[in-house]
Amino acid sequence: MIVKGWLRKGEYFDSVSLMIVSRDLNQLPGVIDSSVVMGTTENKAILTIAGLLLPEFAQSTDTDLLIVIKSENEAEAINAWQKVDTLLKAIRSKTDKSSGGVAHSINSAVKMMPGANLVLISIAGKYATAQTKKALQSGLHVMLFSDNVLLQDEIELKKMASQKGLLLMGPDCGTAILNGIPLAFANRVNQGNIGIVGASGTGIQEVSSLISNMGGGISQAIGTGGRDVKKEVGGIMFIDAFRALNSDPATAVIVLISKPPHPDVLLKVKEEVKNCKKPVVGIFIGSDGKGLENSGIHLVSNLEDAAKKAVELSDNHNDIFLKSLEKAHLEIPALANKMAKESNGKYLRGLFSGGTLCDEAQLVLKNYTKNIYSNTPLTGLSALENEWKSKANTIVDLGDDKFTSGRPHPMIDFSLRNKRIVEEASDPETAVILLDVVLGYGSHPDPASELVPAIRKAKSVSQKILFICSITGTDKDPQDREKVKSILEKEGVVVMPGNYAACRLCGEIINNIELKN
Amino acid sequence: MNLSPGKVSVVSIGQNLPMGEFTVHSRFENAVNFINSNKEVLSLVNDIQNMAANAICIGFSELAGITSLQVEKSFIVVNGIKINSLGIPLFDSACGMDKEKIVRIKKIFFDIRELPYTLFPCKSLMVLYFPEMESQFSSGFDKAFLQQSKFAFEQFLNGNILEGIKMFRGTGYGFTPSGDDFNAGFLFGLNILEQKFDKDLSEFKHQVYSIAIGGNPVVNTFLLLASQAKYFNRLKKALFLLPGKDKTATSEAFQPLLTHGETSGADLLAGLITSIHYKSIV
Repeated sequence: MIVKGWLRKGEYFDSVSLMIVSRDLNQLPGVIDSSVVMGTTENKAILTIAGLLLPEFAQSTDTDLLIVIKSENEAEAINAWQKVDTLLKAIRSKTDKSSGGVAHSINSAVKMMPGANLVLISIAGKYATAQTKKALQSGLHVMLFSDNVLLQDEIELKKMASQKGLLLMGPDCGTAILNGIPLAFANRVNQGNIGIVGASGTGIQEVSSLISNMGGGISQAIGTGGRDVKKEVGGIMFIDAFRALNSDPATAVIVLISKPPHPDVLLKVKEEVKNCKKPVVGIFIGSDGKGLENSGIHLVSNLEDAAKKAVELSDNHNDIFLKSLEKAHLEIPALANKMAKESNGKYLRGLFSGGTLCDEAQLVLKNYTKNIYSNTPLTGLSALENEWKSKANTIVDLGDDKFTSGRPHPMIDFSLRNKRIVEEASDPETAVILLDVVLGYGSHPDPASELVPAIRKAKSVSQKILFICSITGTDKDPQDREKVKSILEKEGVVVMPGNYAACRLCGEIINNIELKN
Repeated sequence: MNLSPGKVSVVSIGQNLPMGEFTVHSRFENAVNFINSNKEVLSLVNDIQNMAANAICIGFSELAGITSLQVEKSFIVVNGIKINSLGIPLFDSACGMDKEKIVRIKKIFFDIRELPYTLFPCKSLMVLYFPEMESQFSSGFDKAFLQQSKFAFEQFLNGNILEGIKMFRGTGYGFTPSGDDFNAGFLFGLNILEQKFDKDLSEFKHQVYSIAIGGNPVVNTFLLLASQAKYFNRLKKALFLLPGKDKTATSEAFQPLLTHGETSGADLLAGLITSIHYKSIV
């Protein structure tokens, strides 16, 4: 075992950066312990207590950086050091004035990349309007990731974009796939002939991933932001995006995804669908389809069916995945019966990172029990009095603002959900914990490594706790769906092919438990 | 990189800007710290939320390209572009509170354990009030830091305040280490106690400040402003919103502060609560 250290004079980083680097460093193979801290006298005293102080740190000052690695051998220490160096350089390049390729305005970015026709804007909401206007005036399509943009501004900007024949995806648009390129939170999927318009980020991710896993492919996936289908915005971009896909020769089938649009918007959608020569699949989570009668749309009630129908209509499919999906559904009753017998608890606790997946869970589970609570309840379901504390069957959207204020989104940072997993396991009334794992760009690079310790801890608290999860993503994603699935299954997690199937299994288990009691 | 005239927009300036010619001291994504020959620090920020008595807030897109700064009585020169500073809105760093409000805020701090610990970042010094958070301190450094912090905190409990301040100084992650944020929070809390009890604590605050300062001029400036009751915007906002009408609203009121750095706001809060707890100081 050796301890190696490096002093970097005049280098400084904020606490967020150093905590992230320290965390990543401690997870590297062969690293027994490590620390990356500023070289204050007091931190050196703490390093002494931790057995990590080295003589070469003696000359450090408050604005120097100390890196120390305890590892099995020198090679592993050097390897870890190289990793730290890369991470720190990446952080520094974000703020370093001398770093090349950084544009400080939309105009200078356009000058640096004259052929660009789309800008992704992710800045504080109050500044976003002015920048979006500037981009649209420059003839650029916009993906507006920022939230907290005033509704009136959104309407004005969307009208402006529409008049100019430009797309304005957002505000609060987290997902898009354009010409095969995933933007923000999106998955690496097959390219193909199915186009998606969605007012729901995780809805687009789940459907596009399932389509890809089923052997189909995506031509374009266009996000609009959740407010677009509300009365005030009137579906300006939902309709424009639909028209764009209708006139896109590479798109043969169109899928529409959103929560129930306002009736006025639905009426516009109906007219567009009626005049569209391409088959259209619609999933309006929680809607009974009223208002779309006789439009010719293929209405489905869950995200999995939306993908299945689109693939069927597109004439490209992967029999192996479809058969495994069918098999999984057929086996749900027997599996649920068996799992219910193994369980001691009474209730389901669904801990979601994706908002649309959380909505779909509520929709599926209300067919099995009425005793459901949520922090984001659908119509007819009950609101949790305290979102931090579960009650009966609880479905929580941990991506809701109340949980994410001051924290990264739970797709990136698992700490809050992991804490909650252990808390739920400590509740003797918990029978099943339902999770979604969303892969793809933007999400945590190694979700299994985050979840496994929490699952183990939960099982040490309650051996009979059941874990069920779905994985939104593909084997082409940087995290590799199959790899994540295999790791979770080794921990005893039942991994279902999609969110709908996972929710169905949970519903059946709860039914069985209610009957048992 | 030179910015063309008209591209720099100054949104707000602090009431206590040091003057002179400045060079870059340290650069972060949302703030650039400048220093003059008197070792006085001035921060350039791009979000009004991050304003402070010694800061200038400019339009967001210009921050990364700014390399030189000069501040005089009536004008500011940014990257060679002269901007008239008269008429630019001043950031007011004072935070006046009536006694009734202070009593209500004190009650929240006394009942802090009633709030969920998950409200606070996991490796923050709020661990001193929520032992449930201790499991998050996992590496050798984390554990030793936690041990040191608990020991320092015990000094406060035993009335050895200056010893506790000394032990917190310079400890923890980041350019402004957690322990320094704790000490700044403690100083801000002393200002509140001054208001509550109409008592002049300036001598004690100076003692605390003198012990808390170290070798980082940015930290030292922050501590100085804390000792002078010059509140930064996020803390002002949090104190303004407190107490909420119920527990949820109270939790939300902490948000402006808790979104200040990863743990900085929470570390500062831990220090602030600690001072408010010790009436014996006055």
